[in-house]
Amino acid sequence: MSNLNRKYKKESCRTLLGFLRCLVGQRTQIDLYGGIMLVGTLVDIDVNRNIQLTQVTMSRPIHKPVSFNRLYVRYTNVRYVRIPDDIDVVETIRQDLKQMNPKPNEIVGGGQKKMHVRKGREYERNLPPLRPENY
Amino acid sequence: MPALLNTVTVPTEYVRQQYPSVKAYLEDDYLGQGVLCIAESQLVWTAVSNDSQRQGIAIDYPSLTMHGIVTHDPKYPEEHLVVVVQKSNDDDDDETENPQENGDSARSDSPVEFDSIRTVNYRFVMATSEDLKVAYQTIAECQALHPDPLDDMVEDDEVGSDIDYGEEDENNENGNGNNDDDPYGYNAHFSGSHQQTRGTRFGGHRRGDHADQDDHNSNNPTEEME
Repeated sequence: MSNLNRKYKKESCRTLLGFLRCLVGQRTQIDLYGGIMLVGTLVDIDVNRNIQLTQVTMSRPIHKPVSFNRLYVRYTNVRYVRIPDDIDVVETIRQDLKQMNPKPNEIVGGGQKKMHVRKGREYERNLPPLRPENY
Repeated sequence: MPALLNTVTVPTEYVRQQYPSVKAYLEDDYLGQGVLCIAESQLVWTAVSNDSQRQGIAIDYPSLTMHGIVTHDPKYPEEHLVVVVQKSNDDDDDETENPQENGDSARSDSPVEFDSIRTVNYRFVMATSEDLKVAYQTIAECQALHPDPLDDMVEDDEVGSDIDYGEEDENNENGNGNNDDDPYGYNAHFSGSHQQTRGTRFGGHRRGDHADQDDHNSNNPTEEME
């Protein structure tokens, strides 16, 4: 399972996956390829970007709409995820990144906090440089 | 009802769930009662019959567009599972062949250009409500096992290859519940540029004036990000 966490962290930092997950709980419209539209509340977006929704209405061209209690959408079909107007995109991304990389003194946990700080500085010193010296 | 069902083989390996008395519908056609088998390779429903060859439906997860639980539907009084599957263009006999349409554009390869996705609804009425919930969850789990092979092509490109994503700390040997200090280098990124902006605004530092300009990035690990 730690492999998935690693992949999630990597994808979150490189792409908008982390931001999308912040939309969980919001009512959004999702457009799929083929003219299918879904309106529902986001429950979960997994690391592969498969989407789970609840209280969904699916509208297909020609067919009558169908209402789902729960719906799971394969990621390959998603064309757009419409972001609600009242969401500040940049601020949400910032908060998400901050939450994923907390500073040592921001970590909640009491005793563990101290231990982390002590270890943190030593650990930090021993990390390989982020960029080569001559960057 | 000639060509609605195909001859299918019930998977025997990696079968997650099997439900014996499940009614199936294809759009509005009732297909009968049968066995729904949720395997990691395919989703298979077979009609109960005495023949040695089973008739039914086999759905591959990559073509399983979505699945869900429907509780209220005007035509179906019971709550049931709906599975929406992509149909490739070749299967449609009643539509005239459009020469512009790519044969496999209905699949996930290139859906964008032609938008010729056609989907069909299958409905499965399970025996109990609990079965329904478990079936929904199981299909979701099996779906997660089938990402498209085209993805993950861009793995370690130049951007970010120097970022340390942290160790695989499975047994939590390092003792921290939360992850390590900034394994992605974001504090360095953001605090560095923040410092430069501050410098130019308040006149404390001019770019290019000092030879030690590079030190900015590594000197501020505790810079607050506002």
